[in-house]
Amino acid sequence: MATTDSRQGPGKLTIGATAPDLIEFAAQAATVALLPTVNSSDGTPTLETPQPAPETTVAWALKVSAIQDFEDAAGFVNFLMDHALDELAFTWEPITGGLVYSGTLQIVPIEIGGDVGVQTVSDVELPVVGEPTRTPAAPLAASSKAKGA
Amino acid sequence: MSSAGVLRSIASRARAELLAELEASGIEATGDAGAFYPQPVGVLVGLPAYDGRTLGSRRFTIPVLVVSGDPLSSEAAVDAIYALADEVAGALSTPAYRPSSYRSSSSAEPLPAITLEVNVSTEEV
Repeated sequence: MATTDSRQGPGKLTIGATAPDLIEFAAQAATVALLPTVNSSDGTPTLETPQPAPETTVAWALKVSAIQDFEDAAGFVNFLMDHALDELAFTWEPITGGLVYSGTLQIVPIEIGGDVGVQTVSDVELPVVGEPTRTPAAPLAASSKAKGA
Repeated sequence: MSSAGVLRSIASRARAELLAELEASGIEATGDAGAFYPQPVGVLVGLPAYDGRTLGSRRFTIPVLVVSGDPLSSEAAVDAIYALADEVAGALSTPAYRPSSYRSSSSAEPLPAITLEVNVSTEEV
């Protein structure tokens, strides 16, 4: 069977729905990933179910590493600072024209600044409110919307 | 050099953008090594190396050479090449440069130069 080797880019990454609470910053983003955090604890054995399934929850975050653009008032760094703790929609298209991940993010600021005189790439993890949604690429778009990734 | 609008490769566009940035800062530079005769000093933009990409752009490192047409045998000549290198470094927000040499087709001996490695990100269209 042939190997499927999915690699990002060129793609799109948008936070927000309408200007000025909207930013498209694919050009700045060096890393984009939806990160699941899995919390699991043992279930309580009962007489009826002596070996219960673990009690597990999944929380998602959008991890972004971006080239800092703090000198741009309308750039990514200042957008996150200005919208800290807002809840905004996001869409992430790893490959333009392909499938799309979307959902709602709680905005948190990213580190500003760093080493002097060199290009600075900083990381931020934006918590996803609820679960992200996965929309297949155009030919399959009409068929279904799957939850999770 | 062609204008950025008709260039087919992103690397060429990155190079053209860098040349335009130098021009906007009032620094005369060329990407045409065949027509490059630094007198007394000049700036030559080299060929991009592809470093990687972001989600919507590609990142290149482009060498920029500040070349002296004269040997650096006087304090004034040394000062002139470093003054221009500082100007280029400031215009391109590049934090470092190093002494090097440049061999042209019109000169038997390599010419003294200062090389800057400039990071350029160019959006994919």
